[in-house]
Amino acid sequence: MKKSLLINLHVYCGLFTCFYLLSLGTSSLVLNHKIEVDKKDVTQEWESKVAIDTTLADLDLAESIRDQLGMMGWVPPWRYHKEKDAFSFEITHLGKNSDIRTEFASGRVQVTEYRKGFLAVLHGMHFFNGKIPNAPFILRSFAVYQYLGLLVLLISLILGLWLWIKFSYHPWELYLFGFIFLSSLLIMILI
Amino acid sequence: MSTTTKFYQVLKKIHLYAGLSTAALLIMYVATSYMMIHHDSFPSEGGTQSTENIKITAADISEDNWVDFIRVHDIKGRLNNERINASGEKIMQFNSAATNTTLKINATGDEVEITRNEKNLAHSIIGVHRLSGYDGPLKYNLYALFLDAVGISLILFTITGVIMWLRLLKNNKWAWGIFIAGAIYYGIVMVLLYIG
Repeated sequence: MKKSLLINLHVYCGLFTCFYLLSLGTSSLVLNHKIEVDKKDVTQEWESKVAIDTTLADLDLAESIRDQLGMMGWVPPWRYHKEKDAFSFEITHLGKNSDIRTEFASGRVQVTEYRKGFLAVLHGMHFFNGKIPNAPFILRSFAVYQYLGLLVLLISLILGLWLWIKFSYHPWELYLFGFIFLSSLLIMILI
Repeated sequence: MSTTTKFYQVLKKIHLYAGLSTAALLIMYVATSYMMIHHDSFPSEGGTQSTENIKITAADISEDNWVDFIRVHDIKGRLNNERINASGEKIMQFNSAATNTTLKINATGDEVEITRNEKNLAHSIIGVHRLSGYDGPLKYNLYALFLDAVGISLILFTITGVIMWLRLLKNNKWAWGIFIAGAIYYGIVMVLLYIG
């Protein structure tokens, strides 16, 4: 195969994933140094009304309220708090936490939102696979992007290695990076 | 050689070395990411769990004897979590890529319950992906160092790659199309998550 074609393919693959790679790189550093990136300030408070079915189990009730509010996110069971006349829970996703308090009698819902901020979203892309309940289509399509991103990253890596070996490698590079390659394999096995 | 050409050569070397130095970890991350996305296809069966209760004295788990205690009782991994529960028991959790071990020292400090979970091969490999941070024995710190190298390399070879593309293929419509489409898509996803 011609060198220019391989270079083009390597560039196309790299360009397709470059934004994903930047967020993966950033979040790897955030994870490794346990840096707190989530903001915890209240950004918005609002109220609404929903229909309450008190016969529902906690999970179904939380999901029913979330769906009626048209909100996106998970409803973690460890955040449920049921009182005699009210039910509180949290709706959460990569970019926002929302505390929800619902009164059984009136169906009144108080929502307190905490946006996590840009850095938290950038970091969250590391774990994002497009699967957030009630997410719009474009977010769900990230599952495809993630697949392609991983595949293309692998292709880009293999093409880069092939181009290096075929056209520009020096023996000392092979020894040094071969040693680093084997050392990282050894550490992965040891841990 | 002109300054621009020298600059390009330096960028090319940074791009290459950043990729080469982290190739093994990157390949591992790509493979384990696929395994994590398809975690249902990799059964959790095949691991083992065992529990034993051991009579101890305060001296056995003192600071001076702790390293010996860990070695004698084959407690693998590094201390990940330590707390006292409502019953006054001290809970210590040790994790490695392939194992989770929980020590429960009773409130009177004369007995310890050791629960060992050995993961199966697939989950052990995924366990490597999940490890991070500078804690515990030397090998974990070395791994964390590699992890930092991967993070910095990803950023470096992405930025240098984009700069080199602008020089090498700046008139290539396909490259611009892929780059702009990627930027718009990624931007929209991030904005939707930010405001969603």
